[in-house]
Amino acid sequence: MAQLEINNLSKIYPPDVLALDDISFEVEQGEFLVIIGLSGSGKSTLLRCINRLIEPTEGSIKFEGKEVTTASSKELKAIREEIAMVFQRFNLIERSLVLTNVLTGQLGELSFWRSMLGRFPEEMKQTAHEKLKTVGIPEQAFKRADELSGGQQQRVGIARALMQDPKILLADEPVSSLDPATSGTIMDYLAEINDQGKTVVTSLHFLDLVRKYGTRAIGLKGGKIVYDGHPKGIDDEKFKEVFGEEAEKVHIS
Amino acid sequence: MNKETEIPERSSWPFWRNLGFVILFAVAFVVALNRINLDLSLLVDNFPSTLKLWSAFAKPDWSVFSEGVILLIKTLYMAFMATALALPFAIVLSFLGAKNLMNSPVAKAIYTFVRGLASIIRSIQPIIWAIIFVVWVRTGPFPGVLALWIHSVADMTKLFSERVESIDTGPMEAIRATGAGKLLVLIYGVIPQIINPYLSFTLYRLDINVRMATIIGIVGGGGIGMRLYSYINKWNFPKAVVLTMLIVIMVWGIDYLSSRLRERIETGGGEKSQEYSI
Amino acid sequence: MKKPKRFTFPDLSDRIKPLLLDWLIWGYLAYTVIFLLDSYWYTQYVDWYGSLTLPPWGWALTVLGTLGCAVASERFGISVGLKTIKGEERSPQKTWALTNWGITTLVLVIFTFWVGWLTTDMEIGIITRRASKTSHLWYGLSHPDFTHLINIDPELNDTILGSLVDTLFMAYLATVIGGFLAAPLGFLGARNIMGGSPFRKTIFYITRAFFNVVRSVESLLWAIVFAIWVGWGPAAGTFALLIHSMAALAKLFSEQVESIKKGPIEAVQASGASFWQIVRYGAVPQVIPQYTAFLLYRLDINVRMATVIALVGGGGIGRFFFYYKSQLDWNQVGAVTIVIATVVWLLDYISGKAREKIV
Repeated sequence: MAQLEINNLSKIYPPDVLALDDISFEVEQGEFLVIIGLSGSGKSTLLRCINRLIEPTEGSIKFEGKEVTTASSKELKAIREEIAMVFQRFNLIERSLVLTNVLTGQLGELSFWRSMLGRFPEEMKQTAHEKLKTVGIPEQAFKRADELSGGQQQRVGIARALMQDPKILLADEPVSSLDPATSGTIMDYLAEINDQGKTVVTSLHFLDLVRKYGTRAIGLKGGKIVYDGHPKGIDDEKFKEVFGEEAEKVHIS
Repeated sequence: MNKETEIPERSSWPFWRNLGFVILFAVAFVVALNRINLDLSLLVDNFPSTLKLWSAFAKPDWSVFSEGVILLIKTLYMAFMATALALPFAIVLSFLGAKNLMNSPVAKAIYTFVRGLASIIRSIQPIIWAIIFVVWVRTGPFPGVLALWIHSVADMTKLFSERVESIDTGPMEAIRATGAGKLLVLIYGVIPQIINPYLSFTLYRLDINVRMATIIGIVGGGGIGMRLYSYINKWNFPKAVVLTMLIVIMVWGIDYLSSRLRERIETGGGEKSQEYSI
Repeated sequence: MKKPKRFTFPDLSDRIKPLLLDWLIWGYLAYTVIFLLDSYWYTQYVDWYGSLTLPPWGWALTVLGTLGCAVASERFGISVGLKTIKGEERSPQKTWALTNWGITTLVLVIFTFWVGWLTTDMEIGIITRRASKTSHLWYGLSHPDFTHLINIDPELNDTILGSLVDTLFMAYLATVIGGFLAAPLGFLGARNIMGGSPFRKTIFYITRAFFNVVRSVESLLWAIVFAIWVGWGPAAGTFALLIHSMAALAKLFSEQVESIKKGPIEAVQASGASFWQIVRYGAVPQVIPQYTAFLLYRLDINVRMATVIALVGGGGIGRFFFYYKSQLDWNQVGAVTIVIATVVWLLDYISGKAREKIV
């Protein structure tokens, strides 16, 4: 049994925009799966369907054998605790402290009243500091999130994801808002997480990053899978098929 | 993973400071409640004394309607005149009151004077200015316009100069680098950056002036407020209610128009920012 | 995918809106012209603006004439309405003032200014002519009499400083209570929360209408109502400021809620948080700082208003101002004015600095 099984998944945005068209694939534990495709090809929608930030229209998603699409809100919360997510625009709570942002990763395990009052247990705070150290910014813990640079904010985003101790890490264009040097650092963190046996599913724009980090690539075009295989297998022709005639522009070395 | 992560020092100052603020505000609240004698039971017990007022809503006296509309138009014109006359003064003063444009010692003195005077004038309510101008030029819409005008000049000068102070110096330097004089720097380096905010502030001020123009009549400043107040003083609520309704419609309409126009100016007619629904 | 062709009713709003706007502009222009004709060529026999020579059919003619102008302007491609509603791009090489928009605005502003000048009895000469009338005022301001700053004035049974404290407390109470009540109202008036079912939408519209109406009536007018209701004094003033603040803040609060960003909420949601945790960690932190800034700004406005609310029986320092003014005791008026200006200026400064820090 694969860790993540997706069968015949479709998503239609009202009234009639077909974002995902009958998609099926499986993800094994420990894979570094990269999803490529032009903007609007359905990458974000696919990632968000996996943890149901977006409700799929049809099809099934099985996470470790549990059906996600029909899960009750309680089951869904439990599933989401196992699946962390990192976002293109970081999605930090900008006016809160960095530490608070990291701590929100473990909200699922906190009682209602404790979370309402913002009383996080000491050991949880300790873990949060450790995660910040993991991503190399332990000294920023008590700053406001919006005081940080883009790269630092994304590191906070990763720390928040790590806080969940997830089995799968979803990353939606994690480096698209960053400069090339910072992008490398962030991707290295993702690779490190992957080395610890966690599955990483990420969407990316740049082919060289795909080739360098991915163990498998899925190409999306118009909501359909047009490529599924090893990144090395994407030759220029295949690349053009996925990205269309804009290929040269996207290819940055 | 390494268990011994040292936690960065966090000073306890923000906590004590916030606690201090909370205590201060709470104490002030209790003291204020006692001193002002704000008693909700007053609202309930004395409700009968307002029955005459509320019953007027049931049978408003529409005979003042056409008179009210004409007064309403006059009130609008008062607000327009005050804003329009204030605009040129505020534009000139805003450059004199912008710190980044006034560098030499003489200029600094002018800057201090302009901003200081604007602050003082702004601190005094238009109503009080209207009292002064009523003494000065007699009752009527004219003193009302003057009162709104002087307050608008001061207010717009402050807003405008703050805007000038926050401009991007890049374009200014680029123009200066071509060997252009002060005036050219102003025209090509400063004005393109401020024209939209100025327009938007002016519309905002027009909105405020319309609101103010509805009450400035209470002290003899003309407009619909003057008639409204005299009806209230004569205890003639059915007529007062009609005038109040007219005021509500006008203020609401102007507020809506002004905010829509400002939105358009600020976004350059582009898309609205993305909204989220839970 | 092929879509079956259906008969669609032509969208009338696209055609009617521009026409209405054009008509409005022409109609307003006609109004100003008639006003000016009446003002300059009024005789006993020709009263343009009244109803003598502009009987009902005259008005009908005006209405139809302006409508004709509106239609014609669309024909000849100089319609402002079409440009505005359909949002046509303007060619960049043309100066703004030379576009239809520019010319229309210019003409309207000139005519409005002209009519405004006449209708508000502007007479610049009077300012210099009657300048001497204000000499005692300037004298009083430059020779303030601070006797009653800390000594009780037997007529008003208070000191200036005491009433100043009242003023500040009035503004403070109004802001705090108004702000507290505004938050739940603001939620009910937020489009993104109250969208969906027709029932919710009805509540949304009722709430919005409620606070727009309350907001449109100045707090000074509310003070008249409350002075009748609870009697003259600071309580009436506080209630007036309170209800106006509540409505104004509710509007700001709802706009703040409407502009909540999706990202942080998604992030909290993705970590498996419950609904209330999403609200507490995703939504509330986005709203609170800006709202606190609004509260401070409102406090500032309320203090300003509280200084004059005594005019209609609302209590506070204004009592001294209006009393001394009625006694023509200009030296004391000067003293009160200086106190008011200082305090308002100080508060404006502090609140500005605090807001800068928060946002």
